[in-house]
Amino acid sequence: MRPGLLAQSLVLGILTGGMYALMAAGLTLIFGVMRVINIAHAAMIVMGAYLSLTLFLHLGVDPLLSMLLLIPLFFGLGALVQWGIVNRLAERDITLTVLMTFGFAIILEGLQGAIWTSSYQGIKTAYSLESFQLFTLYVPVVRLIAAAVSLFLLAGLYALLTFTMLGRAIRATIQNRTSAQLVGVNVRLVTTISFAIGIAVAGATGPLLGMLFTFYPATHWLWIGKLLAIVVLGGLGSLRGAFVAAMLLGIAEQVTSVTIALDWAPMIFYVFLFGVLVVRPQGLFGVVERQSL
Amino acid sequence: MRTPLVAIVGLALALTACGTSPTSQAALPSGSIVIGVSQALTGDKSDPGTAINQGYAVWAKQVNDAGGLLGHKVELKVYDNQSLADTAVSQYERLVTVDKVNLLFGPFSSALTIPTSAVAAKYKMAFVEGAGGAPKVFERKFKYVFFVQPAVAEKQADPFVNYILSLPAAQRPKTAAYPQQDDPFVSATEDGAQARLEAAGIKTTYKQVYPPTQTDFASIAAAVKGADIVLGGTIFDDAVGQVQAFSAIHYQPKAIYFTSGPSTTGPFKQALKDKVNGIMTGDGWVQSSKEPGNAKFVADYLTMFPNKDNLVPGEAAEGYSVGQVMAAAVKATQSVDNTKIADWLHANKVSTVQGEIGWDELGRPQGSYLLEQWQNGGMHVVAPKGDPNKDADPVYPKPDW
Repeated sequence: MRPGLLAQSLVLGILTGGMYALMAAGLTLIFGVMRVINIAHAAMIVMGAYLSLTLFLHLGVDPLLSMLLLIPLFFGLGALVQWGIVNRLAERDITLTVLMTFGFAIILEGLQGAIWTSSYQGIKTAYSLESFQLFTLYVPVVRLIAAAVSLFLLAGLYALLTFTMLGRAIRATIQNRTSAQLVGVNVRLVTTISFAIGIAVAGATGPLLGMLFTFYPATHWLWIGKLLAIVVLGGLGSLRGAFVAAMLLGIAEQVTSVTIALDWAPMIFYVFLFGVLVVRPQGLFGVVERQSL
Repeated sequence: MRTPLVAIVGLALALTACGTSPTSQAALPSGSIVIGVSQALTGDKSDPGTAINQGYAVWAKQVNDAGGLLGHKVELKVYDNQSLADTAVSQYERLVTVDKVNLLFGPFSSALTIPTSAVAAKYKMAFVEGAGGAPKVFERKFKYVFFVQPAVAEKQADPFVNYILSLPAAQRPKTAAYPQQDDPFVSATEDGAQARLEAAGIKTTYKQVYPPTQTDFASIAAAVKGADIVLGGTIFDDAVGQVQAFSAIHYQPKAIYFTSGPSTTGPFKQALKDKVNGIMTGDGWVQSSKEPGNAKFVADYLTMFPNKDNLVPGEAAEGYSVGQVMAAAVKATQSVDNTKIADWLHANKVSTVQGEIGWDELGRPQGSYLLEQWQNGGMHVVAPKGDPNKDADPVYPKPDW
């Protein structure tokens, strides 16, 4: 192998992993608070990409700017869906929500196909093809921006969860719903807000996905598999875990594809995932729940 | 997730079809002659797929403006198969058994032609197609498939390899990379070229096959970087993706050839702007071609599908040629009897905008391709040397991105 190739693929892996982390963050948050596996998460991210593309093509809005619009929009939609549909189902039978979000993913895919057709799309800004040199390495500008924005949003989310009253309430709800209720947390409201934050993060990731990768309505099936694997490896409900697992996946993919072969890239990650689950069924950062018998 | 449903529908249709005896719709209709097409109008092959259908549309309009075929108007019955083979198969079943079309035109790419040509053969319908040239299209020995390009897929990169091997020793590349999509047409073209270049001492530094769903070319570019020349086995979107990834890491190959993509001229230039310059491909047609009828085809195309660069994609010419071939056979046999049409095509050559094309007993065309290169924002024929359509010399090494 050519010297420098490994370093180049490491850089690409870290930058891509940063974005994977943001994509998985909303998913793990929603699971943590509600125990709901949102199969439609990737479809929502792709929806964000389509909306950003439309704003860019018709109004010339930079995809990074369109995030400012997408975050409140998706927050509102998330709150509405949680309060109107998910909550009612979750109270009856939590397993129903998997079916519901699965159906929601198919509806979103159909909607995207009807509006934008199933042609491949990408958001190509003036800086899409720029890169700069760092020693012997080339760093694509768009990937760097995507990673930086992801880290910024993740840091914001982390700060929100760690240092604010709302964050404490969310974490308390994740740890133990009943006890949180006992100490005065409005669990219903906290759940709705957490779900909405999760969806808002998905919306924010859309423009980044659109800038980095080609997308079409059915792409979300490729993504949701990756995202679920990240969330499971990191430990369901753990933001830190999702971050570490996303980095591992990003790096494993890029390094494997240059050192072994392209089609080995996804497999290596899953082999690692199974290995970890054998030793630590709760994932890297997951907590073993004590459940009453 | 749609696939199982489509498969079930396809199976149901196939089972229904088994009940009827396979016959071709031989009698001339009282109204229009209806031609069935299942095309990749959306999905990963949508750019070249749409271009072929535009060629069909230009041909149909010209025929109807001139009074139709044997006095009947022609009408295209088109379904969108979303670039999915299962969907294309069930749509051709439907076109023959439910819509009872008189004639069939093929879809874009070998990947969709291979399964759908079996449907046509089952119903003894002549399958005249402009974009399925992989060996698998012909190895089942169907008598009803006719590939309307100058030559089969294995020969597509021949003019490029000939050109590279004709370079003086000092300029000749020493290494080559072959990043390629998992596709029957691509592998046929790439394997042939790689074998010849290796035999001439040009070492392979990279050969990897990626799935049609590959959208991230950054790590491929990092691994390909350093090779003197690149032979990209591409369809369309992946050719665009490769160029973007190569240019992002400032990789400047001396020559770059794509099996498909650069000839879909309008969308390719729109996606890559001036980065198209220097990129090569093999094709049977160029916009400036001096073949009879080409000037009118180009003018009518640009009237029906105007674009700011005034470019006509190569696939549109392939679609138009399919129409020319079918029209010649229908006129010669004075019928839409598909068995008669197939017999006639096996025995005769047809003049098209891609030149005169004739077929062997398996429907394989017998000519050769042109080497084309993007120069100054337009597509030019740069080899072979004696070809009447050659209008520029090859630029080597290619200009930097």
